[in-house]
Amino acid sequence: MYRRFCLIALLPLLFCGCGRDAANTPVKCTAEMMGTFVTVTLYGENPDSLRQAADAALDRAAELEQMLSPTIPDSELCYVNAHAVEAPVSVSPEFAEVLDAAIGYNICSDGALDCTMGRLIALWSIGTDGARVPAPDEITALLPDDTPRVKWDGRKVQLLEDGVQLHFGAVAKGYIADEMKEVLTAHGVESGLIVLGGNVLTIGEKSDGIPWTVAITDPIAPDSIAGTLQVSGMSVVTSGNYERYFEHDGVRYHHILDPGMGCPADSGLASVTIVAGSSLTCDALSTAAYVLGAEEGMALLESIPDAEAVFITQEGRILTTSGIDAYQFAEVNP
Amino acid sequence: MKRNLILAAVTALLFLAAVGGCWLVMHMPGGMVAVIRQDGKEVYRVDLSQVETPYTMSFSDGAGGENVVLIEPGAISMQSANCPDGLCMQMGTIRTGGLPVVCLPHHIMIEIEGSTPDAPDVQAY
Repeated sequence: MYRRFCLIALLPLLFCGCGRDAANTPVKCTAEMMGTFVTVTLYGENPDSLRQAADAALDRAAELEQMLSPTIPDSELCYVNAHAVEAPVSVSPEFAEVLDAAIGYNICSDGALDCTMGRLIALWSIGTDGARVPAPDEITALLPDDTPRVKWDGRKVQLLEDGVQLHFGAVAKGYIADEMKEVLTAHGVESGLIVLGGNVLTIGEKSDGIPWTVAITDPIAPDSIAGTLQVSGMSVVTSGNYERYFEHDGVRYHHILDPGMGCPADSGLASVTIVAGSSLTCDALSTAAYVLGAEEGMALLESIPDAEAVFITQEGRILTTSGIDAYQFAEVNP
Repeated sequence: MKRNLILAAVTALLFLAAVGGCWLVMHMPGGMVAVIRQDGKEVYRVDLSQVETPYTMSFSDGAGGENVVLIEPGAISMQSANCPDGLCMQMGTIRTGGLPVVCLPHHIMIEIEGSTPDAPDVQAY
């Protein structure tokens, strides 16, 4: 009787050391591209296959950067910008997807997101050594009028004004993250994180089966967090005035340009965070809503199914969309 | 009878030690390892929970770019940098995983791997 009790009681000894299994040791790969850092963190039982999957995803990202980068001289984007004024230029299916999305979000945001601002972005050069405050007439010369600037038939693109340059800064990172996730899931990855310059895309759940906790940066004090979200298989992207900027005569000039004004957007918001299944959707909507401001931005978000948002105003006030409870948004130190 | 009681007592103690051990292993913090990467490659790694005295590390990009990283008990930050925007210094001190300190002009990223069980898994920025 006692011996049987002893044997049963000692059974837990067999499981000692089970707390940190192989699935808890992630494979992490980092690369620099699109002017930022990309990190892939994968969880699973087989580190070799996870590493192969991460390498394949980073290879895919590099391939897409070669198509969509405005700074790689022989990228497809630079080719289009150089040649599509004279005659329509055929583009790759990936380029077409990104252009389609950018035009779609331009329409639904009433112009708050505009992928034809390449020259304006180059004029300000925010985030580069050449950042400067342009003269007002330099900005005015590049503002759009009511005439269409791009002709797009789904296969060929033509730039209708001399000097118009495409720039996918508000959508390319999101698209690339989505494509990386496709590669990883095709390799059988079921749990992981992609962080592309602060854009987060989660794969599945954590290895213990619970959602990922994604922190939202406090735009007023960027070394602190403003809140957290619980997500599984979703993307979380923030656009904020603290990411890339320069200061001149005591004024901060951040990188999110208002297409209508040609200057850094001053809509009263300090950051916009979007949660959605697609990172491209998050990327585009976070920029568009930031430019639109709290009222119009919130109206835009409420009109789009399956996308939720957390806005933080320049005074630190937090506004959320009606469906944010699905992600258990929790404010830190409210 | 007395022998059986002693056996049962020893077994009970072993049982409690085993359960307690399992609980500790599953709930203990995974360490606070700071990793510094330059051009995507890991160039330095330190367990911040083992740091007792603050010290600095200098990194050069070979083209005039210089960064000095301050490593403290449980914390790490960019102390100085001659990059044009200086944003890496304004990113402050990090103590948990999530938000890395990034110096894009000099291709340096500092992040903390492993953290307390309650810390966020990742940070959007």
